[in-house]
Amino acid sequence: MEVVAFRMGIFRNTLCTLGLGIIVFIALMGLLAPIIAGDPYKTNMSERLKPPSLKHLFGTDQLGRDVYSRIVWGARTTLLVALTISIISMTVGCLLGAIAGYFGGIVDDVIGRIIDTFLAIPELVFNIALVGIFCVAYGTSIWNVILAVVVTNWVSYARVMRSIVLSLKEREFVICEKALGAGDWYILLRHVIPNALGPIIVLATLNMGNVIMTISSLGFLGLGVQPPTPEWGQMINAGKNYITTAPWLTFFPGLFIALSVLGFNLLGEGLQEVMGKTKAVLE
Amino acid sequence: MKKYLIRRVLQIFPTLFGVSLLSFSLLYLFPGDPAEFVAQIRYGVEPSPQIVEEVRRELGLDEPFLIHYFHWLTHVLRGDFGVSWTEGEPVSKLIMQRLPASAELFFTTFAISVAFAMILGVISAVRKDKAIDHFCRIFSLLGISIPSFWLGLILIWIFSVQLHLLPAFGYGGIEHLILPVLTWSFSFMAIKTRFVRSCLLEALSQDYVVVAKAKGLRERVIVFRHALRNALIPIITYFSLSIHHLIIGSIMVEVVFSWPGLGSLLVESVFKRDFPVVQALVLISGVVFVIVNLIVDLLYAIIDPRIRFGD
Repeated sequence: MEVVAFRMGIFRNTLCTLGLGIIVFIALMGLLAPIIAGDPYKTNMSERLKPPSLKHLFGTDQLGRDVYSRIVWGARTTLLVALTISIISMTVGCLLGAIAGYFGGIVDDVIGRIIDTFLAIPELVFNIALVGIFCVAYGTSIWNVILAVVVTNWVSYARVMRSIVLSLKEREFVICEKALGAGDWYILLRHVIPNALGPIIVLATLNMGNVIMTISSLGFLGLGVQPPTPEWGQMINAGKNYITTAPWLTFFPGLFIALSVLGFNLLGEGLQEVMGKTKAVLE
Repeated sequence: MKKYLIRRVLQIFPTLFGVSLLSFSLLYLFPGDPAEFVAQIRYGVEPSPQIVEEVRRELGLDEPFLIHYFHWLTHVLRGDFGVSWTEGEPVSKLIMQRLPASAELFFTTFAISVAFAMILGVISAVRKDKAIDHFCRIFSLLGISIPSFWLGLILIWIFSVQLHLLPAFGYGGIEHLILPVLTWSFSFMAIKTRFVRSCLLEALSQDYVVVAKAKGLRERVIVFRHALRNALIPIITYFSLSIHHLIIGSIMVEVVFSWPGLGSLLVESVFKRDFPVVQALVLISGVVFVIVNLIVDLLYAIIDPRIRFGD
């Protein structure tokens, strides 16, 4: 009942459909990259900085590489990195948040203070500081970016999860289970986490947009995914030096960053609306 | 009231401790030996072990972690953030040099964004679900989705490269300020417009608005004299919270326009591995956030008696 009402809602909601459409489009770009795009690494010095044409849909860059191919492969980079970050942060954050909320006491105090600390420092400031350190320490691995973003990203999940658990703890079914002698972990896994899924999914969707923005920002600063791996932010970073002669190097990658972030924001907002309505219908 | 104030003030100390510990620990994440790195910068490629040891002592790295932290903290509390590794100047001096530019960018953006966010938010709420509301919604969605560094470059391309109207980067007269402010305002405004809208909608759904309507008051009077006044408390809180941007404004906007503020100082220092500066900036941005939060909460309690008597 709940699921059906929810599913109907998703497809009736314009924001959801639009957002989902954009996300599917970007995901397909990433998935089908080997089929729909050429080699993103192939340089061609005689075809440097060519404007968009039928042969090169989005023009070529300073090394004569096809910008269209790099953007399509860039979708794969961005989505893979963003998904990895989101999954790790979600797992860590939800676990810590649930533990803090459920057990309370000193555990909650410690985790709560850690959450406060991380919330106080602007995320990007800390990301930049960390990624700078990791870059020097561990070379130019993609895991630098993932690790640096996860360090700040888990916090929002922990905070939301903690407050959900706090409110669920007082509900009748949980109190009943306790009276029946269920263990803490049983209640946590069996009741609390499934009930928290809704808000966490909304958070994860909106968060994906933020993570994509962070990855591109780090890429733009030259601290993110390193060349020659195609990544949109880093492509803009290289392209900005040619803004007077080859603006397409800046224009197209940015368009796709904006589109992906918009997709996740639309879906997140739509889901929020649908969930509000589903709740109203069921009650 | 007194109890609430004391409790709220005491609350900030664990967070401040956490922020200071976190920014201090950054030094211990440094790859390799910081003492050797600093010695190399100062005395050339291959410093003798003796010099390295001297630098180590000077940096306090020969001490155990907690004692080193304590020493660092006592200096920081006196406003001494140490000496920049690469510039050889006090970190506080470097920061003070960059602060005015950050402040200038922030306050201009803030003033413009708040004015527009109020106007758009109020119109949006009053004309809920009408064309103008949808327009505002799309506008704010775009505001949070379009990367500011990209928007900045596009504006540079239009106004500097194509039209030759404004300088592409640099710091100085008002003409340098226009593009960065425009870029930053776009995203800054977007989130605030939404907030104003939802606060006002919340206020408009209250009983006193129904009463006012029943009394036959005109819409304008209801919106401005009754609803907006009540909505102002959360709105002002929310706006003042963004003051923490004053320190590290928009990093991306500063970098795009080569704006000599603290955001670009952070990025430069990360590239130069100038750790004392990075540490100081992380610490300051965290502390400012905590303190602004505290002030806002206290003001809130003074303005709104429901909070201070609530518990």
